[in-house]
Amino acid sequence: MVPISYTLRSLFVRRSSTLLTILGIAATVAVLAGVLALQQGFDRLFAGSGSESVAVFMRPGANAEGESQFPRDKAQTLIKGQPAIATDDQGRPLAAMEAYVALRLPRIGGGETNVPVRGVEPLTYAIHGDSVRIVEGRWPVPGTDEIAVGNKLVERMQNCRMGDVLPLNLSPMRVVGVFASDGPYGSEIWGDLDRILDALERANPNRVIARVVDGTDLEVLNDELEVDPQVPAKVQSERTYLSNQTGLLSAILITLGSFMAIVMGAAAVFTATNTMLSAVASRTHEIGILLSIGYRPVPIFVAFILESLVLGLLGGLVGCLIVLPINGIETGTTNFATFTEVAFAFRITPLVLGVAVAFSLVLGLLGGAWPAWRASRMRPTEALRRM
Amino acid sequence: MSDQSMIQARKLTKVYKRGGETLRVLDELDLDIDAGGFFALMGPSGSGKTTLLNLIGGLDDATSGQLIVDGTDVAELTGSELAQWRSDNVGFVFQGFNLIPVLTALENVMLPLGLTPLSKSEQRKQAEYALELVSMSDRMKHRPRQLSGGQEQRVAIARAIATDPKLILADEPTGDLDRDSANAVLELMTKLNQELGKTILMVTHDPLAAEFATNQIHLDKGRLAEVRERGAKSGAAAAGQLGGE
Amino acid sequence: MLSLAFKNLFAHPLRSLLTIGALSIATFLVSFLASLVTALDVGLEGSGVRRLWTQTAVSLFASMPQSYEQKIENVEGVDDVVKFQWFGGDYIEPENFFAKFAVEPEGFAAAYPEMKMVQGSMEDFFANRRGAIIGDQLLERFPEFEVGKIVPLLGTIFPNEGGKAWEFEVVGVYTAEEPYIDRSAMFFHWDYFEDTIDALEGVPPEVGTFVFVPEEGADLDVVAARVDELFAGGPMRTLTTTESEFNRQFIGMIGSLPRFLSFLGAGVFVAILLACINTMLMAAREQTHDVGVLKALGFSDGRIFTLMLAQGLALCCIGGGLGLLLAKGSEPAFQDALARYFPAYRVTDQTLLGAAVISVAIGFVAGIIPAIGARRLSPVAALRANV
Repeated sequence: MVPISYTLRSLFVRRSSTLLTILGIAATVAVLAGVLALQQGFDRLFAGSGSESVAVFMRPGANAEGESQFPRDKAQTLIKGQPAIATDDQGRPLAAMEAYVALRLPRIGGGETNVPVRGVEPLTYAIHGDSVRIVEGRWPVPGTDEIAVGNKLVERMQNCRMGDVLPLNLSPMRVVGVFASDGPYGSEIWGDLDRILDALERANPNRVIARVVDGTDLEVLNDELEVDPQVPAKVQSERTYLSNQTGLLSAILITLGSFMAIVMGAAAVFTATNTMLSAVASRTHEIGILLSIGYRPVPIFVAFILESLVLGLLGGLVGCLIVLPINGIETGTTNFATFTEVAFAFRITPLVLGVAVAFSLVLGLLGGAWPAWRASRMRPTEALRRM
Repeated sequence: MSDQSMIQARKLTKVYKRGGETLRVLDELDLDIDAGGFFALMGPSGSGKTTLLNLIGGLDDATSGQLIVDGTDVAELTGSELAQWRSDNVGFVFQGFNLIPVLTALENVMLPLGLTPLSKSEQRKQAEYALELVSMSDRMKHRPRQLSGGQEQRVAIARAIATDPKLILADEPTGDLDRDSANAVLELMTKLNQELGKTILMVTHDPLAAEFATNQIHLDKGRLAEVRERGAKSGAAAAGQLGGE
Repeated sequence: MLSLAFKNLFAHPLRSLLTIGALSIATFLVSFLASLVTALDVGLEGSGVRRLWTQTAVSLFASMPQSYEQKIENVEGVDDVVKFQWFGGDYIEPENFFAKFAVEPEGFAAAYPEMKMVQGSMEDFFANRRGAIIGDQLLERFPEFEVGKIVPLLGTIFPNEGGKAWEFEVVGVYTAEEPYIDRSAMFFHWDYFEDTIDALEGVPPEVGTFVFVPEEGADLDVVAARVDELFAGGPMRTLTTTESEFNRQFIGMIGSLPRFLSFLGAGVFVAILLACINTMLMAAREQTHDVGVLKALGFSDGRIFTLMLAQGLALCCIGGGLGLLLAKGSEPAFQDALARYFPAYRVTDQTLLGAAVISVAIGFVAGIIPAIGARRLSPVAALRANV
């Protein structure tokens, strides 16, 4: 083996060139990691937050609650008659109707975006349990024109601070509380079901949610209810429902991220190859010395590949350092499944870092392969002569 | 030979600072070189030969003292004036030949002519003539790598005389050559000196090479140690007038 | 002089090739990202088109009563109003997303003179109650939608009786020159839609959008204000805008995506800039000795500077040019691949010009850094450098 210190010192000797190559790889890795962090943040907000024991009932055929309509009479029938729905200590079924409409609301700083407004019933809070909690003020009094806003909206949307009045079509609604959620609810506005339906000139709620009895198999229930002649319904766990919401955006981000990574990666490999070719060329004489001492081509190949891998690894680490500060930064993006804006944070997860570092090593490996092969194929006499 | 002075050095000093050490490479050197001679500049390593050559050629600035080359005070010239002056007055020949590897022999010789107002076809004609003088006409289209060392050096000499400078500065021109090639190059330089009247100043280690020169100048520790005419036995160190008289 | 610059580039053909490759990739990527933004901004075009859209001011997903039609037609400056409703619906599965609208065929054809039939005719469309026309890009994506074939759609917002699929017969294929016309959409008969819903639910469907072209000479803003004033007191407030203004607002709702793409573009730019500077510096280092020779020959600092700069510019012009060719050449392929997300993907002349400026700028920066170095280099030090 060629000593590892030779590899490291060689990188240090060419430090300006090494630095530029590292930074080039780092920028490539940072772009990939940035896209992945966006995808992870979005995915975690949705897939990571839904409960398995909360069921979502929609009309068959609907992919999202905005498309679904669940007439009151059918909802009542379902809530009263479905044995899978759990009850509270007073024996009431833990189920609630919900209305859902995306409103056009003005952003702070200009422009409009689509914000979901949700009409809820008193039991809704109990069904969600701790995953939705009030952080300021209180929940709206049922039957009044009061609303609570998700904490992610307060700094982003106009008229969303405590005490503000937010006009909903023709009805002014007063903000009496701010709530937080581990999931996407934090980007929503909640109010009384009937008052919201009234204000928006709507007849029917959109869905029913319910806490289900432990051990309920929702897939079996879904198969039963989809063909139920009285109350046909599509049933999913909240977790499944929310995971399905992320599909399209995740697909776009992963496609975009992979495409950028491959194309930029090709450019980065070209650069790494260039750097390593130049490294090999300027050390032709040294290679001649190593060969004449008796080193075989394989250790020389390994030494140069190692050098290139170190180059890639350093680039990957710097790239990770560059994107690390975006961890936790909140941004809003459109959830294409409902075309509403969702606020979420970039998440630099171990997966993101792992992919980034692995990617940088692949770049180093590909970039070093050809120059290292060339170095190992030199003849000692030629290498020594070409001083 | 003309009795006009080509080079006049007065108290010429060059100090290098390397780390904390100061190195006095040229130490108040006084030297006069007449036009039309072929001078060999000799001395042990570190005696200041190459530094002196670089100062005369305007590649480097003196620390102090005066240096007049062909009537021009070299120290007075600014960067771009100096470049123009080099192009007009001096031809360089190096030990390592220093041809541009990506250009052919002809293109290498045309390189300094590109700095003159000559048209492309005139440049080409003059470069071809210079190559003819060094007997390299049949290798004009070759790249430096395709030539032997002796051939490369002859192309380099053709490049040095392409603009017809009065002064040729050669730094160990035969250092990398075998004896036969070296002799051919030295004969060529003698021919340039005698037939074209070029003043030649050649740094060399090789006593046999120095024998081709009309005069030998010996430096030691940045000072003039000895001046000797061809054929003369070792003379006394003198800081006086040199030349062909 | 220039020939020397070119010959120096060819002295290391592999390295120059790799750099040119990296540059063409960069130019291509920058053009690609810019074209995505162009695709998003496409609604901003066609601002000269005198079409007004009336929708609810409350939500993109809310509709207006049919009674609004007559009231809008009575407004001064308005002649005929066309009803639109977003249908939703899945062709086999949600992933096969495309836009589907119920429209009044005669009024629709009159309001959209840009649409040119390439198969069938508008008359065929008028005559067939269950007929639908589709865009040529949609036909490309689903070749099975040929004229005469039935397209089954599962209702998501508007379920058919018993969850059956709606069936529409393709009677024509349209195209359009104007980029703001969606060529991957489907339009079918309002009457068929209304009668089916009416029979199922006992109430006629509401209207998503009223589209109309005000009379010649009428001021669009004035007409829009008159319409909105009509419904200021409810039941649903309206917002009337030009088609392009609506598109602009709609894109605004997508939010941070264009900014995110620009951020990626900047990452690409930085990575490639570093790579090019690196290559030019390596090239310059290997030319140090040559620079010394040229200086000894009497080449002025200025000329050396120009020589080095010319090398950087030459590389970037070649690489950039290839990248532009690649971007333009791949345009049809990306139009196909991105038809679903970015149907208006186009590489405009402005994009090409911008990318060209960027690649020249990279060349300039990558050339000028080693050029400054070479200019400053003392000839003695340069000559002493190893080849």
